[in-house]
Amino acid sequence: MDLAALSDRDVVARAAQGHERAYRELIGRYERPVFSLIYRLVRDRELAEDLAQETFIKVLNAIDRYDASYKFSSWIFKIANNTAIDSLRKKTLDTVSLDGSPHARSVAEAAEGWSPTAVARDENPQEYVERLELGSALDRALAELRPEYRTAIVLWHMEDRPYEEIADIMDVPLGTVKTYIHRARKELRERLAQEAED
Amino acid sequence: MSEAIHHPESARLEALVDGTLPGGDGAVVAAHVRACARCGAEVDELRSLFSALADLPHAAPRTGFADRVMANVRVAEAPAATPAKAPLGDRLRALVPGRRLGWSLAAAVAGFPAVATAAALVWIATQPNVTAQALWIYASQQVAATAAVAWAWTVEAATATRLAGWVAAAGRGLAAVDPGQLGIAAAAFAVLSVVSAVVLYKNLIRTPTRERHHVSYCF
Repeated sequence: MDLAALSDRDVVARAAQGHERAYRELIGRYERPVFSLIYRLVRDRELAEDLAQETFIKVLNAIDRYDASYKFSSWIFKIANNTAIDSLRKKTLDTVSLDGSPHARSVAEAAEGWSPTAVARDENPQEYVERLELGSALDRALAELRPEYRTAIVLWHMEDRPYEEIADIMDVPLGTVKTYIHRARKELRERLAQEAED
Repeated sequence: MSEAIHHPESARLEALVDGTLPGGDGAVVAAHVRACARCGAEVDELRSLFSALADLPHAAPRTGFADRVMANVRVAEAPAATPAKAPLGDRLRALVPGRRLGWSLAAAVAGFPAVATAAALVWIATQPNVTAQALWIYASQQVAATAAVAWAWTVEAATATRLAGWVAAAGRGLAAVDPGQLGIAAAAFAVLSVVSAVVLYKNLIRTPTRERHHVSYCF
């Protein structure tokens, strides 16, 4: 059976029946979005990988208790977000700054990961360079946002999740999600403008 | 005196670019943006920001991530398999004998009634007094006699049982009761039926299985 053609709900149902391929299909579908969200929050590649692994282990070991009335994507993103936030809290309690972690990359170093590979067809080299610069600057600006703003922005702009699902994932009211996104955009614009002046 | 210009607030411009501004308001804000250089510039800036955010790459974990996860996952046990029902064709094929002895037995079992019936028919037809008309009259009489016996037995069984006696007694009793009292009794019966149906629904149908032991306390 071609699992790629099935909905998340059907793949989860097959996993609950003990089909290992269905587990791997779910990992394949969500490893990048989940890792990406966690990485944007913790800014540490090794830690992000550990936390993403922890997220999948929690979710897949509880797959037979999954409530099908809830979207699978909401469930896994919620666990990923909570896992990352818990980790950030622990770090704060340990009074180790994020950038002081032995595994942490500096903001600039982290921003090096941003490398749009393809030049768009209708784009000249100068536009490509500008896009590259904007992307790097944006990555740095994003890293400076509060974690809840980052989660909201990543889920809305990168994962195309609707407000309602983001509210479910973050466990906050719909209005709060809109406020987070609006404030995050405002801060991003201010930081980008500041960087452009410098 | 120049007329004060009211620019839409940033949240509405963002909603316009997001495509989440409701229809009527969307048209008003879009018209303003077309006419206002300041708001037009802000919308362009927002578009550029949103596009750059959408272009941010998904970071990927190292190769072998799925294997590392699966090493720590207990794959759910498959539910006990129920033996699948064989298709009709397979079940019919299973009835076909596989060996010559089987075919011989099947032929004997299938052929004996046919041979016996044919022999009886031949013997009857060769008797000098047996005609088609005589056979028809004989068969009709036998069927009519059997039907009469069955009818008599059914009537006798129905009237002789205790149940028939109870039904008749209940009918006579109901005919003797005052119609007013009968109505009250019927109403009470109906109310009790509804209450019992509600209790059954709440405790046996709607309540999860593990809470069934509360059945005697729940109304």
